[in-house]
Amino acid sequence: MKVVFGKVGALNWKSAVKLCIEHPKHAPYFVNKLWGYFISVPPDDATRKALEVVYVRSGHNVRPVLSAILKHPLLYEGPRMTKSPVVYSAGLLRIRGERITTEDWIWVDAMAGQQLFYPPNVSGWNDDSRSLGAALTVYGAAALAPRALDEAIARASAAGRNDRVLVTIFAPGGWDSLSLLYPSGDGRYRRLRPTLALRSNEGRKFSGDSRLHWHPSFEALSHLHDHGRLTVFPALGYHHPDQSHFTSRHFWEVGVLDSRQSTGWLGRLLDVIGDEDNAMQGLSLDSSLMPSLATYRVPVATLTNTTDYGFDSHNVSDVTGMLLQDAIGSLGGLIDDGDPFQRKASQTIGQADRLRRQLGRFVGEDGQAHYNTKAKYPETDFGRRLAGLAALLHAGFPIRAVALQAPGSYDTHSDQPGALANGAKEVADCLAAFQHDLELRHLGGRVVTLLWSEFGRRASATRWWASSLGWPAASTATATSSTTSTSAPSTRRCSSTGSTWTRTGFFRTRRSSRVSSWSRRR
Amino acid sequence: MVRDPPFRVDVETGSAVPVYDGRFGPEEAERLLWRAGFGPRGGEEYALAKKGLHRTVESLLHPVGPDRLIGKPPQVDGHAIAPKDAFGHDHLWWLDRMVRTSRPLVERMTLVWHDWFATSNETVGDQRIMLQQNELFRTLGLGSFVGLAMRVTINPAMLLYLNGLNSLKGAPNQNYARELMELFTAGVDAGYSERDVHEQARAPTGWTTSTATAGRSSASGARTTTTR
Repeated sequence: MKVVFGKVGALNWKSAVKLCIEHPKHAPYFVNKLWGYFISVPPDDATRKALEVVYVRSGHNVRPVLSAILKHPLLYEGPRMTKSPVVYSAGLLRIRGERITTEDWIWVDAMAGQQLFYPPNVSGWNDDSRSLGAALTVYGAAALAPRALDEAIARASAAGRNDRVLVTIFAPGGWDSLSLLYPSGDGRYRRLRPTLALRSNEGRKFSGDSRLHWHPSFEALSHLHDHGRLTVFPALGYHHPDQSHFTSRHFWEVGVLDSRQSTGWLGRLLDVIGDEDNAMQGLSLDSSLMPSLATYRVPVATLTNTTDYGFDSHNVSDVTGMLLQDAIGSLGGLIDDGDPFQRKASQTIGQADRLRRQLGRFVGEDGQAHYNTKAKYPETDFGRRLAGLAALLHAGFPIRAVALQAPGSYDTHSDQPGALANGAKEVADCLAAFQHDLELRHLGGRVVTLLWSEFGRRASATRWWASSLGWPAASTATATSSTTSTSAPSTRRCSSTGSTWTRTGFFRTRRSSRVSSWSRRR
Repeated sequence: MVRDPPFRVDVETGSAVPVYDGRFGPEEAERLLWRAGFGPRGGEEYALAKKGLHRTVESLLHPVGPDRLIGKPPQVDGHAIAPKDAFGHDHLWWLDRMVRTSRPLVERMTLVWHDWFATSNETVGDQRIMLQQNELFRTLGLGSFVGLAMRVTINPAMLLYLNGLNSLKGAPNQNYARELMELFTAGVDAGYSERDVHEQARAPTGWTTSTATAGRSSASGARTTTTR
């Protein structure tokens, strides 16, 4: 006997499929999903219900639902819809009455993120991503005039070689001051954190306050601090802390205590100091846009990895890679008349191609990235991303603000000490290598890196409270000293319940007052 | 050869779905051709604008005449393409159908089903099996979703992709059952339990695929957990 959805009976595969289709959630799911392939805005409730009726009454037939969708007013009066790479390629040829005469079409579509018979996973291709060349996404590009993006990047590259750059790195999941810079001789620290407390001789002494010790994993950063390259802002907080990771992270990302705020604090900075057409100015080194970079006015971009512009897909050789570049480049120049939408699409493909060519110079014949650096980065994804960033900056890309996420998650609740130590060591070693790399490239004076976490534990090990740590690492004395605050937290300031301690800084005012003037300096 | 089930309900009678009644000129026809196909072939949007919205949609849903491709077949480096063998030529073969088809909606729905029942040759590893699945989507794509889901469930490419082939008695593989419910039919929050998934997984066991015969699924009663 089998039990599926509470129904009991002999079940074979046919009845299993039937049961799924008779499930009350199936008709709405089917109608919504099918609709989404044809119309870019969701149906209203009445339409969806009516479509469900059509679907179920037809005995679960596709054609009647399709007919209703294709005649729906929203298809004709609603917004335009992004064409998938394959639809776009087929359309180019179809409109021009041409046929396929080269294998390049395989690579063109594969590079654009849609090789037929090779969907990325069981969910299919994600229609939401406006992915260009698979690795680069430009947010806000739709508002740009054709070619503006190229020209702006070229112009900004020529003009902005001395611009200052702010790199912000989010360390997910509760790096708190009492773990990373701990009061080793404080008896209350040991009482409040019986399992998490480090031994008194672990880690180097903090040169700014002899009562504090570094977490051993942060040794690389402790040396940066001793050399005046690093500043610590411990125990940052905000009033009436929201105890959710997500809400707290959002507040730090947007820089205000407003859960509806949609632009990031760096995004708003770029809206003031940025160009209307240089998407590279705000770079999210991540698979999606980091919220701190979300702008209102100016375009920004995400770049998954500089090496993603190499041709590592499906046994593509270097020679084919060259063909691919040419194929994509020529596609960008294919249409310069007719439909402005097509022109825009071919334009963005061309733009991505040119950018890829510039980025592609870092990829060697072995398909691996070679950033020509003497700095010793850990062999991890995070290390490679930072190495790539240093190379991008050195190559003169017009980047003003960068956001990325550190590896690991420390909100483990179980085995937190171990998880924290492993993740923190990788991050610290990578950051030290990044700083070394920047100085070798004579970029140290232009770049400040801010490492922060959304959440810390309450002083008592079993409870939580929102806090943030910031490490601006810079090699110039001005950048470091002008933002320095090393007043340390002390458990003596804890209330009797051990639930909180006095804030030593208010992140928002600290940032907004300093960052704008600092970023404008050359 | 699988035939479409009969078309049972005319949506124009008794449907409460709003119908566009604005101007249907070349621009609207062109938009429809991009959504329901791959853009207009030269001048096609003008011809369809004359037909009007309803007759145009009907012609897309019920193409008449033989399924033919218009114009010359593709040639790469002076040779015909080899979709079953050469890497990437499966992509070229289908792209060519999209370019030259006289049934754009059928081809577009084939693409929709390829995305809906996403199966990757990365795992399947045989272009012939992938092309066979592609033909299934093309043949059944506008008909009964029940029939389509049934055929996909025992489709060799899908079986290979979601490890259905390893779904043997005693070690039911939950992949296909989970995706059947979550992605293909009912959504992620359909309120089924782990037990549902497990029981589902037991249902399709006993299917085998012969790659040598390019994927005819056959049932082997000895390995099933239930009667058919």
